Amino acid sequence: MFTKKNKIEVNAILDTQIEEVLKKTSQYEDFIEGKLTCSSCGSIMNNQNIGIMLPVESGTKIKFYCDRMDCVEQYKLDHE
Amino acid sequence: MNKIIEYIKVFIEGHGISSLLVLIILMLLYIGATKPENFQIYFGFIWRILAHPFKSLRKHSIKSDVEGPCTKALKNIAKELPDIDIPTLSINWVNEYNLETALKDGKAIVKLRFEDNPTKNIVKATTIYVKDAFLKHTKPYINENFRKALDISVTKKILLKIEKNSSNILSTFIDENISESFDVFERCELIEEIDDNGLFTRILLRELYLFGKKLYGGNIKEEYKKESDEFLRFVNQISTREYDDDTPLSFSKQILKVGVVLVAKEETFLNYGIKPYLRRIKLGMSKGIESFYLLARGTSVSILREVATQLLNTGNFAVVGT
Repeated sequence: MFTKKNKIEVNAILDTQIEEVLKKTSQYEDFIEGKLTCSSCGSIMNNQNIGIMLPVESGTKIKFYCDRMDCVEQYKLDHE
Repeated sequence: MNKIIEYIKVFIEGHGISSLLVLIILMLLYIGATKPENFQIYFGFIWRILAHPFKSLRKHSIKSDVEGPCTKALKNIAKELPDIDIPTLSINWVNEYNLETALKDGKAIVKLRFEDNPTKNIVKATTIYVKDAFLKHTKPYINENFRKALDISVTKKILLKIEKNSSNILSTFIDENISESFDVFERCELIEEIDDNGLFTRILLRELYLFGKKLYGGNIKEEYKKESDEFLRFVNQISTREYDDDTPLSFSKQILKVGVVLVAKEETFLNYGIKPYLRRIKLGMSKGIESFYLLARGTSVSILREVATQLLNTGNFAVVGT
């Protein structure tokens, strides 16, 4: 009953924190100007459609996948 | 013991606590100890109400909305796979204090939103969870279409087990997967048939888990991908097999060596006991089969239980799941 189960931690942020994260990686200006796109389907990222943010280059940049399920699946295949 | 009970009774009455209140507290403690995910679900409702005016509580609300139902669903699946450790899903909020570490870790960060309907959050978090939680060591050795189909099917199974709002959750998930290729959907259909007949977790997932365990660390070869794909079709054939179909009952390839023993006719057991089943198992073993699954449908299930008990009593077999 009290055995400790293994757990998988899913890192998450609130949609209201996106600005803070993107300022940290100096990508906020690009985000505002619509220069950041989904790594799978190429659609322009905005506050609504960001699905997954993947830190790359030792956390200095973020790669995006939009919240379409096939793009989330593509993220999984790219990083299996 | 009676003295202790008497003392507690006097203490409770002396402090004006009613027996009903004590009973409720004991019940809550029991639920908290045995099924903490139920607490999380109940608290989810409270957090949700409070989180509307108090924005600082929104993370608690989302966390409860996602973790509670998912843990409950995963516990249900774990019952079908008692020998395999299925990890729980935990939301780790990235905040100003751990942002730098989270970025350096390079692990995906999923964006969640506080909404009245938590469907999208549940679907998104479950999808990411499945990537790491299920068959992580197996996936490199199976082909891309099968891998996608497995992820979709496992995610769907978890979402189906979420009692609250399950039809809405599932249709959101299906809508978002509609653009997958024919090859992926063909495999999804095969898996669905297998699952409908109760063999998805009990045979397919278990054997693929063992397949990954055997291969882990080894070179990725095309032949392994072909073998696992053929195994999917073998399990599908078994699961959809009609009474007198002449489909193969064993699968013996390079890595996967699985046999199925059908327990169908009552008179076979009544006339010959476990001998025919033992003979089939021995024959399979001589061909290199390593695991056997006893299968029965409908009224034959009670015979299967008896056959299994008698086989186990021989001391030569171990049961891994039912």
